[in-house]
Amino acid sequence: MLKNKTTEEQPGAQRGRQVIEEAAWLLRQMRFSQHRGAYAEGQQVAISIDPRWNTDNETMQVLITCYAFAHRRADWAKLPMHILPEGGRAGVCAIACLNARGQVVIPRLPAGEYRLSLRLKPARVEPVLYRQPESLAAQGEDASDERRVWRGEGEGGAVTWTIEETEEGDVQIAFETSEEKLAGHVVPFSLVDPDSKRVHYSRQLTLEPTRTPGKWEGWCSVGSRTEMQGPYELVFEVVPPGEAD
Amino acid sequence: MPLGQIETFSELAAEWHGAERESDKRAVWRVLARGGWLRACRDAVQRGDRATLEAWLDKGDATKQDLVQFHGEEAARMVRTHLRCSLAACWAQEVVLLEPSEVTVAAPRAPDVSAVLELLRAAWEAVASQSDTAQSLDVLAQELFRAARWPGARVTAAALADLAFCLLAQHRPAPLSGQLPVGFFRDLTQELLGGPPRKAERDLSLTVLLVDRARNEGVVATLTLELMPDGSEGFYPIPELALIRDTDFRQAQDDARAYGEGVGLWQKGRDVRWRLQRRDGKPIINLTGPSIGATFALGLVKLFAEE
Repeated sequence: MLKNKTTEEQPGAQRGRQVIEEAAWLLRQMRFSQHRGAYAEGQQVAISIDPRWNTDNETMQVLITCYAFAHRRADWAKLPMHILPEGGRAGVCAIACLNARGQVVIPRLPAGEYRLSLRLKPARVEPVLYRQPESLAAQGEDASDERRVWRGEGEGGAVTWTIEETEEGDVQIAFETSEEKLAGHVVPFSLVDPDSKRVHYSRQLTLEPTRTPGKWEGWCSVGSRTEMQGPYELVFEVVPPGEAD
Repeated sequence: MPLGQIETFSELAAEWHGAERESDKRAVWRVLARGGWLRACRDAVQRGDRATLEAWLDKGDATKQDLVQFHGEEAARMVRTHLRCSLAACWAQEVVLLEPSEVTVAAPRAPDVSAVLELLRAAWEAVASQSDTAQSLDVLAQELFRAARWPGARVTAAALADLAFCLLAQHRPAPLSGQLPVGFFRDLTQELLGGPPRKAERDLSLTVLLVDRARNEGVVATLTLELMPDGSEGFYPIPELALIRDTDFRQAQDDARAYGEGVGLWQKGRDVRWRLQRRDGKPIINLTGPSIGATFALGLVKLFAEE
C-alpha cells in the first residue's frame, strides 16, 4: 500500500517540477521595463510581470506572478528570481524569492530594461551584517574594533558560511566544506538589500583545497565596513563547476 | 566574538585548536601577527622554556607547522626568526648564570662552553641562510668570550646575545634583497629579553596620514627613522610592526631602501630602523598598500642628508 501511495505522489511532484521548469523557460524569454510589463503563457503556467512607478518617479515596483493552470501544485516557495539588466550588461540587479503562491514583489527597481532568471533550487536567505541590539545602545569606539561574525549552513549542512567584520574593518565572506564531492564547486553569492531587494554586492567563489586536509574553502574580502553597512540578505547557491553561468 | 589576547604558547595552541573554520584560523593568525607571536616568545624566554620553542621549530610537528605556515612563506620565515631569536635569548640567559669560575675557553665542549656554542648556534640559525660547522663556532665562542671580557666582567644576557649577533654578522655576507638584516635580529632579541631598544645615532620624524579602514577616516601618525650604527645597510621595522605589513607595504619599504642606495645616499655600516605611532595612542594593527613608499624615500633622503 505504501508503495502505491508513493507512486501516486510522484506524478504530482513531477508535474509541479515541470510547471516550475516551464516557468523558468518562459521567464528567460521575457523582458520588461518601467514602460512595459509582460505576459506569457505556456502549457502549464502563465507568467505576468506588472511594473508600476513608485512615487519617487525614479524607481518602480514590480509584481511577478507565476500561475499554474488546472490547480497544479508547484513548490514555488523560496525559489530565487534574479533580475538582470538587459542589453549585455553583466551582473544581477535584484534578487527576491517567490512565495508559496508563486508571487514576488521587487519594491524599488531603477528604471531600465530587464530580463529574468528563475533558479530551480530554493535559496536560503540569511540576514547578515545587521547591527546587534546591544551594540546599537551605546557603541563605543573600542567596541567597533572587535571582530563580529555571522555564521550559517547550506546544502543540507554540507557547506558552512561565515561573514565577518574583522578588527581592521574589513568585511570578509567564506564558504567552507568537508565534502570532497563539493571540491571545485562554485558558490555564486549576493548581498541583497532586504527592503529594495537590490543586489549590493555579487561574486562567485570556488571551493578550493585549504592547508587543512579534507577541507575546501572559497573566501574573499567584499569591502570595508564603511562600504558594506548592512543589513543585507545573503543569497547563495552551490553549483558544479561549469554550471556557474 | 573577540579573541582573547594571546600571551603564551599554550594559549596560542588552545586558540588554534578551537578554531574550527578557516575564517576562525585567520582571526587567530591576525591576533598572533599583532603581537601574539612576540608575547608568546617573550613568555617562553622569561621561563627559559627552550623545549617549547624547539617544538615550534620542529618541521615534523604538522599541527604546529600548519599554524607557522598558515599565512604563507614570508610570514613563516618571520615567525621562525622570532622562535630562533627566542632560543638565542634563552641560551644567553643560561650562559650569564654560569659561575665565572666554571668558565674556561681552554676546553671547548665543556658544559659551559656548550652553552655558549648553543647561543651562537641559535643566533647563527636566526641570521644565516647557510649552516656553519661546529668547529668554527668553537672559534667564535672564544672570540665571544674575549669580546664580552667575560667571565672577568659581569655581562647581562641582553648584552651577551647582542655581542653574539655582532660577532656572527662579521661572518655573514651582506643580506640579499628580502633577507632580514642582523640589526633586526638584535632588536628582536633585546625585545624578547626585556632589554631597552638599541640606541640610534640620530633620528628623524615625519608626520604621515594613515587610513583607518574600519572608520574610513584619516589617522595622523608619526614615522620615525633611526640611523643605527654597526649595521649592514638594512632598513627594517621595530619588531612589533614586523608581522603586520602586507606584501605591498614590504615592497614599498624595499623600494625605498633600493632608492636610497641607488642615489648613493646610504652610508656604509649603517642600518635604518623605522617605527610608526598613531598620534591618538591607539595601536597600529595593520599596514597595507604601497603608499608609504614616498614617505620612506623622503625620510631616508633627509636622514642621510643631515650628516
